[in-house]
Amino acid sequence: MNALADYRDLGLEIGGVPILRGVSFAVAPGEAVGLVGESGSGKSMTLRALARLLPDRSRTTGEVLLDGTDTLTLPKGRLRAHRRDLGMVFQDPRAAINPVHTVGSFLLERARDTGDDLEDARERATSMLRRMGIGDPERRMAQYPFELSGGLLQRVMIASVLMERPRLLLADEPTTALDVTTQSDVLALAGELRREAGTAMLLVTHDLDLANAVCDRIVVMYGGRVLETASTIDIASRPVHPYTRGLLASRPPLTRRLDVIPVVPGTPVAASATGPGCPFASRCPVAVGMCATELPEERTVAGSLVRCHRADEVAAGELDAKLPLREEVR
Amino acid sequence: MSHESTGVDDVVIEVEHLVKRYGSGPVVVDDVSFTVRRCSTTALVGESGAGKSTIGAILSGLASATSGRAVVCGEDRSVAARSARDRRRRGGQLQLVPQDPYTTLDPSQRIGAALQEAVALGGVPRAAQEARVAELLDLVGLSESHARLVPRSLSGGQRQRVAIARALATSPEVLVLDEAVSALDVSVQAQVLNVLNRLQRDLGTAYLFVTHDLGVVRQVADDVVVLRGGVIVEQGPVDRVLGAPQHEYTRLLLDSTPRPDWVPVSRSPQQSTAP
Repeated sequence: MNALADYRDLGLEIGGVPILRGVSFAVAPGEAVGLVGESGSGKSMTLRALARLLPDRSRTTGEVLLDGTDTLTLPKGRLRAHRRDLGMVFQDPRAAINPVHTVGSFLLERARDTGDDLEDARERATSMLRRMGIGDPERRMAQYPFELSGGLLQRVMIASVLMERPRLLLADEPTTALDVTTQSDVLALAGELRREAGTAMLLVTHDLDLANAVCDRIVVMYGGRVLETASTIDIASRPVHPYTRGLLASRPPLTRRLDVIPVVPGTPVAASATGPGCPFASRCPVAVGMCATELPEERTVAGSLVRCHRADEVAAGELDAKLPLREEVR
Repeated sequence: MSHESTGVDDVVIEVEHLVKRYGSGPVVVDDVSFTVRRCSTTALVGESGAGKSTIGAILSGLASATSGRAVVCGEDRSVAARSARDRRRRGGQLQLVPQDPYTTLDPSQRIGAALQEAVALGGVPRAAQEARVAELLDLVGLSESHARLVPRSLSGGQRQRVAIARALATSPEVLVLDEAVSALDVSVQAQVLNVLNRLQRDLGTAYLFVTHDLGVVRQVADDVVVLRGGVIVEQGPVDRVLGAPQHEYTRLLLDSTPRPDWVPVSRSPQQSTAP
């Protein structure tokens, strides 16, 4: 595989506090990869490392390659050109748009900078807004950000990013703050545009079902490490890591009321609170002695690239009695 | 399953033709009627602007109704409480659990002290307060060691359990849970939902569960009220509303909820426009 983005053993400390350890995975051109985890898993920092949008006092190890060039060691002068290949969408569009300029002025900023034909750019912007589900783009472009709802503004943000035809879309919880019906709409429309243009995507989300619906492959993170990487089909139907199993099972099903929802005991831990072994060891229902002391090697088991001492037993179904199982796959 | 008898005595909340309008602005709650019975859960479901939190605020005494009735334990609450004594009596009947307990817990006060304060307000004699605090912590699955901590030393899920414990301090008939599990990580959300279901079985407390998450609704609710723009579009038992929805908006909400084998669908008419 000729990777577009390639994380090679990325480690990150912020002010001496460990955030990420040994993060490795790749995104192929046009591929959509979901980076899934709970609070403190390090998923957002992993995404930000690719654009080198890390906080002050960050110290990194390893490499994060975009098209073969390491982002982490790139001279400052070349960062801007590097970021041009990336389109970024975050949870809160209001934090990313200048409130004193109209939506139209925001959308045409790039064309003004590069001296492109403004009428052309305006036409492209209108058509893009329309395709993102905005029915009256001309009127919206004359409005200010505060006049638009969060859902409309996020449609504008995504349109503005995809207009520039980036090679990789970096999306950090882009629909988490939206109503469910808007979320579904935005994901469907953005997905259509993305696939048409052959744009790859790295999507950060806490919602494994959502990631499965819009991604080709899933990277599951916990406590600053990647625990499992697999195709969406494998993750949804036969996850191998006990944490992935727990994550799937604890999502309340729509179809039936359960007497007790299967849970992972305890609360998510940050990388700084984990020991030398598997970061999930303290919460894992099938952990054995070595799990807390010895980090499992990453290996392929039943189609998944997984870090777990007991992966073979999980994949063979030998530990099913002790592991939470999702209602729908029961 | 939880309401074999459906006599009038069982009704804890009765909302009738409730209307709320802020000043001369738009009507945000428009002729809403529903009931919540003892030992059962009614879910108010909808998206932004549905009016669900406003209804919770009126029932909690944080807002007055424009017209209609909001009766809790036989007392009409459509007018805000007039005296501290009124407020205290109402607090003994209904408590609100907000989305983020950070905004209601004193950051410098230890959890034990916060709970004891709530217990004292509920009229428990001083000698019995400590035991009641321990009992409340136990009810929500926390230990006495948590009592010595301040809110920021707890995780989000633990803080939400504290908020639930505090709401239970006065042994209220009903809890209004306003997006109370929405901000939690899924693995923690499941724990809190299990705690709430167990508490209802053990204590008989009724819940008015305000949420936008239909998966959560399925796990807690007996009855569902679907709201859009302040108007009820559909209401009934959870099996009927989620299993055989009658209104197209309920179907749209269901179709938009991520689940296994889900595919996001656009309902915008512009989707097929050529680039």
